[in-house]
Amino acid sequence: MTPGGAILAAVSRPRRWLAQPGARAVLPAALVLAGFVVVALAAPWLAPLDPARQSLLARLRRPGSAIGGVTYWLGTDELGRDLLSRIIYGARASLTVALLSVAASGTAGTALGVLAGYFRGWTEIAIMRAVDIMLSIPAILLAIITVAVLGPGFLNLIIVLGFTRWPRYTRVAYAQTLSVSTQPFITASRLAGARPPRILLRHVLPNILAPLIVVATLEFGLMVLFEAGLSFLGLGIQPPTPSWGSIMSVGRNYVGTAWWIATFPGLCLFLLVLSVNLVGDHLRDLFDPRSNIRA
Amino acid sequence: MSAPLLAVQDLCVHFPIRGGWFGRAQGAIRAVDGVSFEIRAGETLGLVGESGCGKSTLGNAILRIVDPNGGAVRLCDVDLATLDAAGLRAARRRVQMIFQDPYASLDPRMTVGASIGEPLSAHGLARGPELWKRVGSLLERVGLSAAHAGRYPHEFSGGQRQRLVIARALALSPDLIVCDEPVSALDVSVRGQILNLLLELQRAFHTAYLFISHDLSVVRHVSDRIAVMYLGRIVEIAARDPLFGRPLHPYTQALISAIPLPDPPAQRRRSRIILTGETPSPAKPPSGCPFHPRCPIAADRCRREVPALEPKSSGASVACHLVT
Amino acid sequence: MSAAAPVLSVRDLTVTIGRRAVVDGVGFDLAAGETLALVGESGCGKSLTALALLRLLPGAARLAGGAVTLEGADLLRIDEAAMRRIRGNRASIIFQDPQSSLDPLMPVGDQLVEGIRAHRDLPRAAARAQALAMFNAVGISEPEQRLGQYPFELSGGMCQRVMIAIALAARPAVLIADEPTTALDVTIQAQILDLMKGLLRDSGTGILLITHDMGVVAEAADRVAVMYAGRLVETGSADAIFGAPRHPYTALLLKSVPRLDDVPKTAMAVIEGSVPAHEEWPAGCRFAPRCPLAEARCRAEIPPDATIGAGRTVACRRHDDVAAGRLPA
Repeated sequence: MTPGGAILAAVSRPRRWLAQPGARAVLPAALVLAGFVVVALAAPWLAPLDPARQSLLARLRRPGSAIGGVTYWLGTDELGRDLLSRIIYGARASLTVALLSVAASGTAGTALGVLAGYFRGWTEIAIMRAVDIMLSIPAILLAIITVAVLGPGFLNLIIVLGFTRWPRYTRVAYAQTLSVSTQPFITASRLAGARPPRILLRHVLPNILAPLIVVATLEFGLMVLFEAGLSFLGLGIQPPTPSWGSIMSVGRNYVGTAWWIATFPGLCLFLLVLSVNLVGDHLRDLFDPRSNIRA
Repeated sequence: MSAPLLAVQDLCVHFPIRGGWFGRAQGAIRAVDGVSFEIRAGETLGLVGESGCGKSTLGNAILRIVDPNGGAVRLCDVDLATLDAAGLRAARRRVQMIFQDPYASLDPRMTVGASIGEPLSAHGLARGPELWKRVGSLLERVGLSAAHAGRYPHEFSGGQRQRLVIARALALSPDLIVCDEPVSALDVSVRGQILNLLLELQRAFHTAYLFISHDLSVVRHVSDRIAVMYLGRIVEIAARDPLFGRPLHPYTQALISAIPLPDPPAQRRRSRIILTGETPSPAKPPSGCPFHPRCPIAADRCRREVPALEPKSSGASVACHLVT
Repeated sequence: MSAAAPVLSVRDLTVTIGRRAVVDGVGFDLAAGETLALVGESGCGKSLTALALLRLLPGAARLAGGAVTLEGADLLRIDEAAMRRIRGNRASIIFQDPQSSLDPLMPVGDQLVEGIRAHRDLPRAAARAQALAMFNAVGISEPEQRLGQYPFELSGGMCQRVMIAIALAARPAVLIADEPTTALDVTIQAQILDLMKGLLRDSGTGILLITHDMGVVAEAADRVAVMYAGRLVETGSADAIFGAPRHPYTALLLKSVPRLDDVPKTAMAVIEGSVPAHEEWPAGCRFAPRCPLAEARCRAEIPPDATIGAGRTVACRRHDDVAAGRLPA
């Protein structure tokens, strides 16, 4: 069963999927993750107020306060903006950045790893040495330096995160490709007349996807945190666009007095990354045709 | 006498041992060291030997899974050893392989129908409904049903998987199939089924087999002629019955004598030749005849000179100084 | 055959994985100095039986019943500390792949010395001297040099000799050998079987030899117990089992093994179907789906063990038909 088929089957026959042992445990996490996605997509309709609308009268209000007929469910920040709306829009930023950077680094990294592992020789040497070099530089430092060079902003942020993370995928894809390539069914494919592109796409890639999915989900959570971190430092998404990291950065100064500004975005970060990791584990089990959990 | 289907001449496969500062070659493992033999159309040549003798490497070299360092592999008049990638792809329609491990020979993420049909679709020989029809008939030919095509390999037993592998090997109607230990990983009660299938297919399609195995009893059951390998060289090659009736090379004699008979009284009565010592490493073969350190009749000449494979009056060819 | 009490006596041994009994009421006796072969194909439970005897069951497998008596003590009922004193000392086990049974990071001599000193209070020098003597006894060439070598430097046959030395270091009453020669070449297999026969003849140790290879059984065994799908289907002396098998499975198995004296390039006798996985074991006789002599009563109930001679049992209702040659080839 192809990965896409597995997910499709799980979604279209939910009752059967739920009867499997692992599915019950992951249901809450899957729902939370789905919830975040929905919130991010439907932000304009869900957010009660304009996240950029400032109100000096409503500065630093507690959650649940109502000022001038408007209820601020999660309180307000230092410029009187509704925290709930900012968090809802912030979900957009976090999820989009994480998704796009994982897509970019994952595709590039996997492709390089597979080429290195299948063709060996100089290809392997060049690619794996590049990986070693990239991995020897501390991740956050690399991100900060790249942002310093390229400048902050949404697109640059994705480039930075994509560029610094590809070696993670390459190492896993390389090791997996090495081990899969020695299997007789790959040899049989070659004997059957299949050319390298066919072998790589139809035989190698599907068989190495499972560990890569796990890496991708861990990376997704990490990218959410990195984006928050870079925005926290002022190097990521720039104001007035809300981002959980930048909100927490401001909230840092008000922890004693307006604790809600830093706490609620942090809570959302935690829940998002946790649910992503749990779902990722379940996806990996789902892809293995031999495991007990099957869609 | 018509020309042989496959003629292997002086085939060599050496794996360099790398070491030192820059991975310089510091010697070589002489996995296949000057092997020559022929296979006629529709015939089975059994290739026996123990671990490290190079028989699997020889099978791989014939199919160019591993590149030979010397010698020729002539399939009719095409030398497989020197073909370019395009020529090799075309030539591989005539030679296929069956592997030892039925659990790793099929892509676990593809349906068995897709795996069996891959040779046909990769060469553009069939597509869509025509492809499925041919896959269905291949499945039936090996004793399974066409309805199995949509299933995955893990749903089949070891013996059934080996049938699937055979079906795939037959897809292009090859002239020669290299069988590398095809039944060693199967249960004893299932081996006979697969051997019978191979014999039946040979009768139907006149396919030649190079049957590689360490199990002499199995090889004897399916082969017309047998070649015995030791440390990368063929030490004896003969028709099946003369080889078992009157083995000429001391290693062949020891090998046959080491096979236990499933008959305790007969086994107790046999005089056995038990070899001393271990098989030397192919990286450091002994001087002269590679078998001399363990040979019960080794003479002085055996330590100095490598014996050549020479035909004897009985029709067998033996590589031994002491056999006339 | 000695009339003395058997050194190892197994009764009704049952091992379960989840709810299913994968070893189902297995029982046999092993006399001193005797080699009993436990034969069966993959999945029949023979390896689990061996591990159960020494309480070394892996993972989800559980001992669910039975009694294993070794020199008077019931191994399934004593505590773990007492069991540890018995393993490697009164009962030893050697496994199939010798290279992975040895610690790859420790020289083989040290592993043998460790085994010797675990069960006997000897100073290092004396233990080392004994290790050297044992290496000699098991036919390891250049023993002085080998003591300091690592497993990867030794061949498969050599490693198996080391394993045998470690197993016999404390002169156990019973040696369990789980497929000891399966991973070895046939000429080395001949050497190892010869070695084991010689050593054990001298020491009087009983061997439980687990294998799927009928040739090895013919070569090395005095008595044979045939196992299929978790149960013993036939037991008897090697001559009796090979010469006059009484269970259809045994008879067909012997016929389906290629022999140096059959007619080549002809269809071999086969057993239809394949060995069932334990999820698929039928309610009645487990061989019935593949048995040419199966009848309704075979499929309904598991056949009882019938004793048809001294030390000769068979679990088949139609064993007389097999003896009379009515089994279709």
